[in-house]
Amino acid sequence: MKPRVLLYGSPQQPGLHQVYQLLQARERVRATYLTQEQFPRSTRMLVTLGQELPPGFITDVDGVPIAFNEVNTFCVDTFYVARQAFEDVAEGEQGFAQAESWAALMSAFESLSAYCLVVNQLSRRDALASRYSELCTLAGAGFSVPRMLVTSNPEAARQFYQSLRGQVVLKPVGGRPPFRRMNEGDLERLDRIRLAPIHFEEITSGSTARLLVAGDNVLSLPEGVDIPSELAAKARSMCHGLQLWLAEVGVRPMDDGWQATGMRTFVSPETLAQPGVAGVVCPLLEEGLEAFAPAV
Amino acid sequence: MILVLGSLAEPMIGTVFDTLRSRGRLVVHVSPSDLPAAVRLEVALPGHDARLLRSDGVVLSLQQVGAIYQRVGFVDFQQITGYTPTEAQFVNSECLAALNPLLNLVPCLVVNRPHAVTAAACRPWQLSRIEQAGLRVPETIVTNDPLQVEDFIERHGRKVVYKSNSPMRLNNLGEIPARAVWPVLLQQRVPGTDVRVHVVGERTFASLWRDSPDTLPAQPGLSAQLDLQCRQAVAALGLSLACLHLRVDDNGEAWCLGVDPSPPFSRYESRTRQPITAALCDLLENAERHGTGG
Repeated sequence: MKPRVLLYGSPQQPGLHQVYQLLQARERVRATYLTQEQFPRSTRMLVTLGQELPPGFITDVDGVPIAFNEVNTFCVDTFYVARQAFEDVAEGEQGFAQAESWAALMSAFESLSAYCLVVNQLSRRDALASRYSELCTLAGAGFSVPRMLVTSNPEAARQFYQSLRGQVVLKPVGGRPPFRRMNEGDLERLDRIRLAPIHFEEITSGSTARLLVAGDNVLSLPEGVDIPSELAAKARSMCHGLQLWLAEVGVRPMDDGWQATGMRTFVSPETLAQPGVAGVVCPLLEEGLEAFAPAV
Repeated sequence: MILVLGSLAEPMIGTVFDTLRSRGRLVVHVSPSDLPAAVRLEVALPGHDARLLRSDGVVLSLQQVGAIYQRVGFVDFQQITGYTPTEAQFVNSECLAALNPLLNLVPCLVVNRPHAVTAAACRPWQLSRIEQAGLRVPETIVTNDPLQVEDFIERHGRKVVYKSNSPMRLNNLGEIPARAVWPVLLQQRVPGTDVRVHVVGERTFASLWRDSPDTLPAQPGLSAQLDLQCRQAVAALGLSLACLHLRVDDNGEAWCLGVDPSPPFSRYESRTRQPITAALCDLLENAERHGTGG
C-alpha cells in the first residue's frame, strides 16, 4: 500500500493546498486533506496516552478514521479553532471550548510525531509569533537583519528615526499587523509610546532572494542566484533547531553583505512555482522520516 | 547579575530576591507591573541590546544578566488611569509580546522560559512528554468521539476522571458530558497517595500532599530511578523548576498525573521546611558564575 500523507489546514493557506495537489498528481502517496474549519464538529479524533492503548486517529471527510501509526508524513502550517464552531454553546463556555479544542489538536500533532515526520512542528512557533521575535531569531542564528527597535522610550524612538533619516516603519509589537511608514507627525506623538511598546524598523530596499529549507536540502531561489553557502548552512541549522523541516528565509544583498529579511514556515505558492522546487518538496513529504539522516 | 522579575505580592519573588542578596550576589528586582512607563523596555537589533530602564535611573542591560527568575505570567502591566477594558487588554498583550520573546531568546538561564511554560500548560502535551521521559502516566484519552468515551469508561469500570486539556480550568471537571462538542480529556482514576515532587535543576524535593495546612507533611524518599525520571521529565519539558504531581498506588508504583510549570513553591516550603528557595538560588548563582544558559 502507498504511504499516507496527511495535510491539515485551511483554503486560506494556498501553499498547503498546492502541495496537496502536487502530491495527488504524482500518485506516489495517498494524500488526505483535512479542512480545519470542520474541526471539531465534523472531525472526530482520539489521542491516547498509556502503554496499553492503541494509537490515536483522526477522521477524514467521509468520517473514516486514519490511525496515527499509518501516517508517513503530517503537514500543518499555522492552525486555529474558529469560535464560530461553538455558536450553539453557552456564551460563557465558548472560550473554554475553543481552548480545549486547540489544546486537543496540539496533543494530536504531538502524538503524530511519535509515528511520522511532522512538517512543521508547532512547539517552537513562539520564535515566529511576531516580527520582533522573528528578527531576534534570525539575528540569534547569525544573520544580519534590518535595524529594529522595540521600545516604550520616546527619546530612543526619536533617535532611531533620526539616525535612519526617517526611513522607518512602525507597528504594534504583538502579532503580525501591517507596518505603516513613520512620518513627521508621529514624532509629535512619541510620548504616547509610553503607553505600550512599539516596534520600529528600518526600511531596506533592493531585490530579494530566498533560501528554501526542505529537510536536509537548501535551495537558493530564484534559480541562478548566487547566495553564499554559509548562509544556506545557517538557514538549515536555524530551521532544524526550531523543528521546521520546510521553511523559507528571505535574503537580500546589501553593500556590506547579505541580510535576512524574514522567514516563513512551510512553502509559499510563489516558491512552489519556481523550477525544481516541487521536485525537492514532494520527495521530502513522500519519504517522511526516511528522507533524513537517523538523527531526526 | 541576577534578575528577579515578578510581583512582590508573590512570596517566591521576595524570598528569592532576599536570599540572593543575603548571599552577596548582585541581584536586581523588576516588577512587570511597572512596565511600560515606570520601567521602560528597549530592544535593539543588531547587537541584541535589550535594556530595562528604571525610573530611578538604573539601566539594566540583559547582556550583563547571568540568570533570570521570572514569574510574569498574566500580570497586569502598568496602565494610565482612564483606560477602557479594551485598551487595558491591548497594553497587557503588547507588554507580554515585548517581554516574552526576550525571555525566550536571552542566552542566560531563565527559570522558566515562557514558551516552555505555555507548552507545558497543555495537559495532554505535557503528559506525552512526561511519558516519553520514562515516568508512568495513567491511561488517558483525548477525544470527541462518543464511542471512544464509552469504551474508555467501560474499560476502567467507570473509574475515570474528567479533566481539562487547556490551563483554563485546572481542577477535575466533575461529571463527564454526555456528548461534548469539543474533545474531552479522560484519565484512568488511580487510587493512592498524592506526592508532590519539586524539581529544581538537578535536585528533587518530595512531600506528601495533604489539603490540611496544619500538618507537617512527611517527606518520602524517592528511589534513584524515580528521582532520575522526575528530573528527566522536567528537563524534557524544557523547564528548570517544576512541581510534578505523583500518585503512589497500593503496590508502591508511582504515576504522574501532571506538572505545574510555574509552581508556587513557597506554600510547600513553609509547611515542609524543604530548602526549595535555597536550591533555586543555587541554580541561579551557578548559572551566573559559569555562564550556563537554559
